[in-house]
Amino acid sequence: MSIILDKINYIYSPNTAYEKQALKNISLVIEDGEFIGLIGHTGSGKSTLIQHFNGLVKATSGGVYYNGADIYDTDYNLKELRKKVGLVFQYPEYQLFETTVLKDVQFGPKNLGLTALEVDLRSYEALKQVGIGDDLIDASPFELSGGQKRRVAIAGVLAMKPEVLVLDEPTAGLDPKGRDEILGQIAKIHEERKITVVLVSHSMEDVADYVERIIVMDGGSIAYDDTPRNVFSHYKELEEIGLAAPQVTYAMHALRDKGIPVDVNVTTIEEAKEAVLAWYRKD
Amino acid sequence: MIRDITIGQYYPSDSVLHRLDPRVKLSGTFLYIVCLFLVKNWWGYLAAAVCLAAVIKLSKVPFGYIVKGLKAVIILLLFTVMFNLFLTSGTPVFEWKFIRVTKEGIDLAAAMAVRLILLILGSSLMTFTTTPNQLTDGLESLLRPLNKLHVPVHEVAMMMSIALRFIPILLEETDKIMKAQQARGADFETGGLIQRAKAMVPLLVPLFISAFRRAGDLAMAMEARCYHGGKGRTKMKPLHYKKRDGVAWLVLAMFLAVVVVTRKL
Amino acid sequence: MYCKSDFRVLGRKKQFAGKDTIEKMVRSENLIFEYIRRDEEGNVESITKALDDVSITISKGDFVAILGHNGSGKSTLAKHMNALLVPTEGTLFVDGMDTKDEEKIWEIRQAAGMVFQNPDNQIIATVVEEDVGFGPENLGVPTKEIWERVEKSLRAVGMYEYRKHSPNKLSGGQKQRVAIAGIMAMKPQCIVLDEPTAMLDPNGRKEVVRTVRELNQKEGVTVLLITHYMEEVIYADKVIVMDDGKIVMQGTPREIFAQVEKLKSYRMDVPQVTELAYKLKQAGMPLPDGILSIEEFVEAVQACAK
Repeated sequence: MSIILDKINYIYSPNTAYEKQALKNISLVIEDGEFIGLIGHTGSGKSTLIQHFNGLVKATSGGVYYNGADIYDTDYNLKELRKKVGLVFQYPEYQLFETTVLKDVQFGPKNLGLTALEVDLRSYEALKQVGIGDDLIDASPFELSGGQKRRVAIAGVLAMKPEVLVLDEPTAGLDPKGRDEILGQIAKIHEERKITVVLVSHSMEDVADYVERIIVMDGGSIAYDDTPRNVFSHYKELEEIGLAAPQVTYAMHALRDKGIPVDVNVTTIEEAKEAVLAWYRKD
Repeated sequence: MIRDITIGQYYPSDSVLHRLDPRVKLSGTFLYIVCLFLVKNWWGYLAAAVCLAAVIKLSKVPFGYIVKGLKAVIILLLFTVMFNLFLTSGTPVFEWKFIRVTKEGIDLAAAMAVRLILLILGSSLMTFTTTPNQLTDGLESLLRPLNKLHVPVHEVAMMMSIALRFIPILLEETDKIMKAQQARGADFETGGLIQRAKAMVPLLVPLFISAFRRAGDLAMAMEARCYHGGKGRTKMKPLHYKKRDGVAWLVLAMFLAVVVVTRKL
Repeated sequence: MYCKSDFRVLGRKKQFAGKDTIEKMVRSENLIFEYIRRDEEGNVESITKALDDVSITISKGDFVAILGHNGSGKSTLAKHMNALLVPTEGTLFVDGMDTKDEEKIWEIRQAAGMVFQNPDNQIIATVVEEDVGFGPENLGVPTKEIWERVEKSLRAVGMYEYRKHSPNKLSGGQKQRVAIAGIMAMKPQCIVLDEPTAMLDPNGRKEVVRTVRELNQKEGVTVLLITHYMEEVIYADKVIVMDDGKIVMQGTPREIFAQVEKLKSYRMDVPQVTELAYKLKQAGMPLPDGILSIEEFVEAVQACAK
């Protein structure tokens, strides 16, 4: 059970003045149940890459396999694939269109042709999982706050019960609290539903607390694909490609440079605190 | 792909055509369109095509890029051709059951197709070589006499230029919303007419909401930058006729003459 | 003699300072703004106080940051600076002008320019230079001077090479710099930026903040930056924290960031090193409050070693 990308190339507007190779020879295996952070700055190809996962964009060359089946086979059912690989786009609140929150969430499961009862059950469950209370389900989605709208939109995809959940910058434009809430809920969903989650972000600090694997994209290629700890050890190279490791990583390296022997391989504030205390107590 | 539509866009370059006064380009395009309807035979179309080719060459806009503009109107084009092909009476060339194609029909369909293609290529060349702001300025200046009839010329011109600026943004947005709804299992491609129209709701509602939100934002941004209509405004790029504009007028006059002459052939 | 001339300089400086204290850039007194929602018949359904008794003063040449979570009222306050909104109660003066005075509205908008969140929705023209010229055109500036202003402002934000480009082909950070140039061309005394970085990636964010700081330092423009990113405010002269329509904290960045718990209670973050230093201090390390940068942090930890 996995997504396999085999030597994917993708070219935008081929044979025009605006021709641009968005993805270069990408090979990637995403195993079941993984929690992955996909990092890269704007234009690095990360948004294009995730649209290959459910066949919304077809590679110029290369193959995509879902659970061993080639999704570019002529008789492969792409609709079935989109049911299994749920994609939450950037600013997903801009896709809301129904008159009530509940109806909007029901849109996805209804398209799957489920019974009315199943549609309801899934919608209520998804709304609950993203923390939208019963008092809001009959409200118009356009009356909600920005953070609430976003959570309704995520519920719309969750209600389709995907096996893989891909979220493109789910925290863009939210304030710190809203960001932490959404990331916390995504982590909880990952744990409870045991589904694969791919979190696209341009902030290392945001994902470092949650994911177990980080894929760094740069210029349409994969620059790093490793655990957060190992990826952040390349903090200097990361900076060159316009990304940054979490600030605490830099702080630990700065301490080490001044001759304070702390563990530099930290990714979170908690780890950094332990590292400094370990040195301080020994000193 | 939706974002491949190039009609109505500006193509930045530095050609004589780009530097021409927008008023000349606007009136020239108008004259050119009138000429296309004056044309009576293939000689006239040939003259128009040659002139257009020369102007395209001058404009430094890649030909392929201009042709892509036709994609957007291909349905209209096919419809016109079919309509003329099957519904013109005259000497039959081909008959099968109720379908009948006449010699006159073929001629007319071909002429209509050529006319339409020349018309679209010509007018999109104008938008390729003129920034929307220049276009607006030109239109505003040409239509100024209408001000006396209380037509809000400046406002209309401003509206047009903003519409042109937001076309690519909204096209991209359409593409994005479409994909987002497809990811939720929406189906825009199959089903009957009614079903397809229904399927458009999840696309159109967000698109309209987004357009209105953008309109609100933009209005506020314009107000914050002291926009208060055309009164008391100065121009960064005021329009002045130059020598090349005079030359362009002469060329246009020659073109008109040639087209009139071809009518006699 | 040496002393005497020195004195004169000092005296003059003081005089300027004295004048400045009278002519504040922005001054509000007990500002209240209410959003009134009406039902279909036009009856008042609910009244929300978006701003509640806000009194602030911003001196000329300052770099002031306003922090607050979404819905805290910070954007509503920003829109008051530009007379896009006017107070329900209380008053707001921009460069000595009352924003309620409708005759002064264009002067106020010229004095306090505004940059908004979404870069796409504030660029009007399809060529960079034409967009920057839009403001001066509205002000009725003569053509020749428009060109001078456009060039100067585009150079000030480092976008002069892009003057002939279409905004659609620029990155988010570049678009925001164009928007800033568009405001600069109106020769404002103050720029209000309403979450200009919320939709940008880290590179774009840095670009915009760097540009704004430069304008503040080199051109002496008063800056009012509204944001929820903490890294962006550590260079500010003054930080104002808003919550629920009220000003809840005010002070230098160091004073504000020393209060980690309080900030968190207002749904705000602190930079990672600030939080790390705070946690280490709680765990018993003798570190000072309000550490803002990695350098300060390293120095403080080194001091513990001795």
